[in-house]
Amino acid sequence: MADYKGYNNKLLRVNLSSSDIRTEEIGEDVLRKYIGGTSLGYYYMLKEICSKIDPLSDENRIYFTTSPITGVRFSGNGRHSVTTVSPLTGGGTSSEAGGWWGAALKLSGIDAIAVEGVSNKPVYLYVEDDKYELHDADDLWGRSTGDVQNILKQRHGKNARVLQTGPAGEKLIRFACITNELRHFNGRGGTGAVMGHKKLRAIVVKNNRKALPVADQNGVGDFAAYLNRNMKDHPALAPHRQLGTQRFLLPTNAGGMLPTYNFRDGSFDAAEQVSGEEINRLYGDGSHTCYACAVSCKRKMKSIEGAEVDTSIYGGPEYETMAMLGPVLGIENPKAIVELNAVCNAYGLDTIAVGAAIGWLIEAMEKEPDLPVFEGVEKIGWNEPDKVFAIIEKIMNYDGIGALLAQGTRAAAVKAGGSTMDYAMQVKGQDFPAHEPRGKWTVGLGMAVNAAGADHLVAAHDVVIDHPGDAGPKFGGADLTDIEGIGLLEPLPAESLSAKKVRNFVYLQQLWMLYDVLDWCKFTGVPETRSYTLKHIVEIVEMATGWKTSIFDLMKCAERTINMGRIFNNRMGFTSSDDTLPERMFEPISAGPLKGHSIDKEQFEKAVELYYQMMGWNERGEPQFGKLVELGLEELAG
Amino acid sequence: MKISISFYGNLIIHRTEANELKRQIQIPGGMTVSGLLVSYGISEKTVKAVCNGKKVDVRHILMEDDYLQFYSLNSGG
Repeated sequence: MADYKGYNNKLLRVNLSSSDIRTEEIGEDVLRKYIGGTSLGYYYMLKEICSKIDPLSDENRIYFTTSPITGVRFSGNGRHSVTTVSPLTGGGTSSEAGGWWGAALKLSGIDAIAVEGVSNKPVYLYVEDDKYELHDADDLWGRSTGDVQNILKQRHGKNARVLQTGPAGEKLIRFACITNELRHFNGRGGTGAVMGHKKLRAIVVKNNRKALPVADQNGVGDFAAYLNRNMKDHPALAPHRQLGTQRFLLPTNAGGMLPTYNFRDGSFDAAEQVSGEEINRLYGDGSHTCYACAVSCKRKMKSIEGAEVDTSIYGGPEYETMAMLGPVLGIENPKAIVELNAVCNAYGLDTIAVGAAIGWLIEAMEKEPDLPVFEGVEKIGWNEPDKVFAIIEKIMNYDGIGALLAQGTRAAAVKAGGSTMDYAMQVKGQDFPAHEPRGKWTVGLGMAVNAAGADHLVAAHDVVIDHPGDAGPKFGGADLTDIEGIGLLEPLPAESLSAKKVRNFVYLQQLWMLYDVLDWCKFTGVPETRSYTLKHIVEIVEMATGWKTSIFDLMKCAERTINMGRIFNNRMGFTSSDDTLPERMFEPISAGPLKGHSIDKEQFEKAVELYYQMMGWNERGEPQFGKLVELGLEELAG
Repeated sequence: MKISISFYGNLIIHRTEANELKRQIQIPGGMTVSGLLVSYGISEKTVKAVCNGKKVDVRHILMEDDYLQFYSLNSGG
């Protein structure tokens, strides 16, 4: 790997306290072992953050990483990871985003950026090939993400790619996100607040190089052509082009798993009104795409007359946003959902966390209005979008109840007391996304044991692997035959945490993590929508890097990454007691097709224990020495 | 007889247009969910069905004015 095909072998290290910027070689051994994305991020986290820290202190660092296939021209491949200590959870978080910025970074000649220290004034980092500069950002501070993008593109050219935190990050809202090109988000974990604390408003990357040296250029070209052909008429990806993730709301509702009224119910009477179909009919304006991708799943919205924020510049709401700002809050008005999405994106707020925090507030004020924290607070009920807009303003200004919510749902519930923690829909402080584990139990297991907390992208959802896999994707369902290659040989019921289900989860968690190690879009590759096979993953890594590898080798890297997240969290003080779910998950769903369904608590607790055993972790959830050695992590043994 | 039908998720390729929420169709009396799926070329193994708000088996016999929703689910979103 002497000439580093697929890589630049370059980390850009930026110290904001001293304004020192330098490049470092990452090194052949590190790249081969950790590959990229989340894994490379955690490699640096474990090396450089050696004791428990305050996420919003000088000691926190933030890492932007790519992989050997980032920026290589084929679909699903413009992504990057952001890894840091989460202000929301206090543990490690790694959040991935699509778009254009990751590919631009890689093509500019850098694989990763490490940012440390805190600037004494607002700045932004400008990267153009071998030029790395910190620029004054006084004129950007306090402005919306849309304004900042406009200013920076006018200054550096239309093809400059802008990654930024927003006003929410500047104000250290614990669920501030990072956006690139206004429509793609490192949404979870409060990574935007870390940038804000460092007074780093943006990272602008401009690349003049159009292609990355790879080991087998012809092979990559053939693969790209194969993907484009396959994706164009792929029966699962054609719908993705038509409606993107917005098409998920109605089937999730039909299945009784659409979080409604803060996860109390599993279906929403007004689902059709707030569906992707209706939002597109009323406000849709076509689609746009990420770097080099043939799918084009991202939705565009028209400008809505009279809206406070121009809805046309921030893209349309994804499924998660639609559900969290719609049914979770009881909101029946599609226009309000589109506008709330734009407002959150202009501020740089994670829409999932906003929905979860306000959903919790509505339920708490309904059930426990006499709690001291609600004294003097104007009541908010379900389906009151005007009040939701007002609460977002309060969050942004730490005003009254907004100051409580700005800390995140868990912190708010701790302060509120009463029984509010039972329906604070979060794990480790990170809010539930719009998925109902009571209808797909290993999704609950995944949310519980995941290092970053509640996350829907940890493994395949039970409901796509609960049926025989011999029908193939052309029938609109999942083609599961390919995952036989990692040992998943039989369909298993969605509402179970049997030993076989836990084993399936272990394998699928590793496969899903592999996508984050490679920063490759899950929608192009996961079984139910995939347009390539497990063998293709191996081949493309080999074609990019020139390595000899295998699915075993790559999944070992993914397993190593899961363990690194666990070790990091143990270092931050997390224990097995953090691997749990809100009490609501063990209580019956109140309404909808899954009315009365709940997760069996005893099965869940046994499943967590069994998961630890399968992972080679002790009863405290700590990787045992033998597992560390097996994964090549023995230097991290405690 | 007349029933209403919806296709959700990846099954939207069976709609007459992308934003279609529901349409009415005519089917022979006594037709099962399975039979209807066959008529659309959809494998019963990979989709789920709800009839009048309740999950149903593919052997379910359809009745006049039934509202049938076919859906497939995805991981994530």
